[in-house]
Formats: sequence, C-alpha cells, structure tokens
Amino acid sequence: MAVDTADEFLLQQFREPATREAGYTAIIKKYQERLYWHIRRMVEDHDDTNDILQNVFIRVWNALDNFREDSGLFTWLYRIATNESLTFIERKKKKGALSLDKMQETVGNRVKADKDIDSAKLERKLQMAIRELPEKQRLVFNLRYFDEMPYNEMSRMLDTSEGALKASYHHAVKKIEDFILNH
Amino acid sequence: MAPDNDFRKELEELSPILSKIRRDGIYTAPPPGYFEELPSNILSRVKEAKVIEMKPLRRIWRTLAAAVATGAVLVTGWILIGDNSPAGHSNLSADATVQHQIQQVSDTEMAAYIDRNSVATGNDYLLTSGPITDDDVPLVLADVSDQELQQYVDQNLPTTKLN
Repeated sequence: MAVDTADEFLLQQFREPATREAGYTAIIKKYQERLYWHIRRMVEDHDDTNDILQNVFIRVWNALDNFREDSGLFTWLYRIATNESLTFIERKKKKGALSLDKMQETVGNRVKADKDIDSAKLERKLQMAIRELPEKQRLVFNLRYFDEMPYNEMSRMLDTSEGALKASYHHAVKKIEDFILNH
Repeated sequence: MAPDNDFRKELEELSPILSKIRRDGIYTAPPPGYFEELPSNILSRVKEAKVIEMKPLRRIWRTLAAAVATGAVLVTGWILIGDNSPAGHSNLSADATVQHQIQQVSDTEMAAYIDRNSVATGNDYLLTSGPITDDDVPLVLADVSDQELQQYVDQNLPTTKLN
C-alpha cells in the first residue's frame, strides 16, 4: 500500500531541514492517539504506555529518512509500536515485574467509581480475559476488535496471512466469551 | 484507516456478548492535556538526544585531539623536568664515545699509557719539585717532634765527638 497524499506531504516536510520539526510534529499529532491506545491495550498501564509511545516516536525521528514508502506510514508506525510493546512485555516478564496487582487495583477503583456496575463488571471481565490471551493473539484481537483494522492491512503489518489472522481473531473471541461467561 | 464494514457483522455472529460491550470504557483515559503536551515533550527529547549524541566522525576527531593533547603534555613535561640542555646531550654522547674507545684499547697499551702519564705522589713529589731551601725547612719539619729529630741525628751523624 502506497503512502497517502497527506502522509506524503508530511514526509516531504520532514525531509526538508527547514520544515523537519514541523513535519515531525504534524506526524505525532496525527497518529499519537491511535498509537497510544494500541500500546495501552497491550501494556495497560498509562505510564508504561507513555514511555513506549515516546520511544516509538524517537525511533521514528531516527528512522524516517530510511522509510521506503512501500507500506503506508501508519502501518509502519503501528509495526514499530507493536514491536516496542512486545519487547517491553518480554522485558517485564523476565524481570517478573508485570504489575498485575497495579492493573487489578486500577480496574477495581474504576469499577467502584462507575455508576453502571453491570456494565463495569462486564468491561472488567473483558479486560481480564484479554490479559489471559497470548501476546500475539492479544495483538490480533486488539487490532481487530478495538481498531477495526481490516485483515489485509493487518496482514501487511504483521507479515502474516489473512487466513491465519482471521483464525487467530476468532479463537480469541471465543476464549474471551468463555472467560466472561465462566467468571 | 477506514473502518471495516464487515467488522460489526462478524462480531455479532461470533459473540453477541462482545458486540454489546462498550469498547471505549475498558481503559481509563490518559491525564487531561496529555495529547496536547506530548508532541513538544517528544520534540524536546529528540533535541536533547541530538545534543548528546556524537557522530562517529566527531568521535574519531575527539579521540585524536585527546591523543595529541596527551602527547603535548608528556613532551612539555619531559622538556621542563628532564635534562634536555645541549651540554647534557653532548656530555652523554661524549661519555659513550670515550667508554667505547677505551674498550678497544688493550691492557698492555693501557699500562704503557699509565706509566708515561702517572701523576706523582708521596716522596716522588718531593724529589721532583726541586731542591729544599732553608725557607722550606720549618714547613717540612713542622710535624716532626724534637724527640724524633734527636733520634735521627743520633742515627745519621758521625759519632766522633767534637772537642
């Protein structure tokens, strides 16, 4: 997928020394929110998300000159964010510091503050169910369920066949449904 | 990214429960103003990194400059502290030359040289320095006691009594 016209303009701005910072800032503004939520759904904690997101954009600053434009800018950014998130999760796992207690506390506080208890319970269960998924399956589920990303775009981003992605998503949905019904 | 039109239908078929959950209520929102401040925060980090980061070429130049500075300090120290005067240099080289030449001379030649050029000492000095005058007597006999003089006279003068 080629870079769209708006992104092409931003990339041209970035490549000109005089407008480099302006182009870079425009790219951040355009994609920060979507990338934030993509990362947040993987790592859950806001502070961790913030660290990863900043690192992602710093990587972008260093690597954007080498961006070959054979994929869309957003796909490329998503790929960097995904890799950064998975690396972060792996590193935390090795340290044994995946802050499950912190996550549960956050969810618990939010549930108490929520007026619609049933809805909140359902959301809490969904969050816990997502957490139970293997990382790659969680990634596919998030991209499809929250971002509504088409399978063909997901395929380019994750370098996996559409069929495999579809199967992975369907499995994930079934696992989550079972978790919600049985907990 | 355009929303997938098939997404809703797919989810409803797969899981009616999931299709009814509010997706935007799963995670708490970031702090207010977060997205407004983020671009400038990132940009300042990028600028900070640019200031700290050195390109490889600059690193090489810096290493070379450090090496030159160290060399300059060492050379300066050697000039200031060490014996670097022309006399010092010439003395050192002259000593080395003499030692080398002496090693070439045979023992026989060395002995002959010493015989020809030895410095006079002790009685030789007295013998070669000319006759003793009356003025020299007090100096020469200053350390000789009267008893020793009498003993010398008794041993060396004729024993005949003068009448």
